[in-house]
Amino acid sequence: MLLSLVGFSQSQAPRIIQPKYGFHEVKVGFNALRSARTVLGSGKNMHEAELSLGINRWNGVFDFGTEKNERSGGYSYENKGTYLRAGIDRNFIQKVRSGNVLALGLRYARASFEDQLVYSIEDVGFGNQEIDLSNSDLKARWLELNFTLRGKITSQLYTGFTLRWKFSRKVSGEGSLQTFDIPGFGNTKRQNATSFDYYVMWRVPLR
Amino acid sequence: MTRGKLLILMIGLLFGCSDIDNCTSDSNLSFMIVRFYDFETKATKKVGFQVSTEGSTGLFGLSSDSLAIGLPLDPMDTSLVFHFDSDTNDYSLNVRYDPNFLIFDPDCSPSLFFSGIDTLQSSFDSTAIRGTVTNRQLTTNFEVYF
Repeated sequence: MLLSLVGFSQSQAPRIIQPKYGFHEVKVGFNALRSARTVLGSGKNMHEAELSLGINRWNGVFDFGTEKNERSGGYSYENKGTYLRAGIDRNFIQKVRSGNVLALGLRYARASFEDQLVYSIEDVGFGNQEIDLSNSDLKARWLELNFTLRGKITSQLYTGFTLRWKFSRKVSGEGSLQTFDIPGFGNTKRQNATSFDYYVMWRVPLR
Repeated sequence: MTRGKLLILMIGLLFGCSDIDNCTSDSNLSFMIVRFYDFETKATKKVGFQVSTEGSTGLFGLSSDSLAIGLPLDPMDTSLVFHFDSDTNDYSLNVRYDPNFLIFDPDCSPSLFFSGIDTLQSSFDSTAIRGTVTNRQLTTNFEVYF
């Protein structure tokens, strides 16, 4: 009788119900491709960090980056500044607590930057002219549609890429000089832009 | 086609577009185009002017059978007075504009064009602005009638 009561009490023990919503992981990392371009490329200095918060099938993603571009070839153009991205991803992986990610997402991005152009114009009727123009307080904003893939490498180390389609770009603060580069966006030759970013991330499971 | 293949195809198309540009495809112009018309008949007019500007290092010559002329603007200023001198008449045209500099392609020299072109003063009988921006898509910025 006593044993049966114990057995009954064990079978009726309150089940621990995992809350459906709440952070289950944090991932922090950096954009390895941008850092590699800084080391290997010339005239570029760019770094980017990413923070990702996992909430069930959704990831809140925040990026912060710095970028400096120097271009030359009969002229000198320098562009430097910072950018921020924030948005959400919908993870289509069934076992989200594995840390793997296959997601589509949306981002809102802003950049603050400055640029300078120095070059000389040959005589077209007004003599040789030295041009030195700059924009000291440029702002830009745009939206992104992202396709993200992250996979576990070992322990809590994850890597993967993000394909970005950047659109709805707006720039303010331009004077006579129209900016060519936008940190985090790319160049302004087209209204929209695409990019491929490769990330290395460390996962911290929260529960 | 599975949804996965369709997704990969769409992403490939999205990222497959690449820039194919060279310096000659830059449509920006660093001068404005003035076209001449007869004030009475409104027909195009062949003229023979010597054109000069204040601060210019030379004359912008014009032959006797020209219907139009391309006139450079000073990128270091925002207004300029052109003097049109002929054997019989002298005219002046004071224009305002905004210089714009940009890098069209990193492999090309910076590009210059002018926007906001307007008349401040003119001694021609009449002027009309047909294009406030200098680029290759426009054949005329100013029409002058005299």
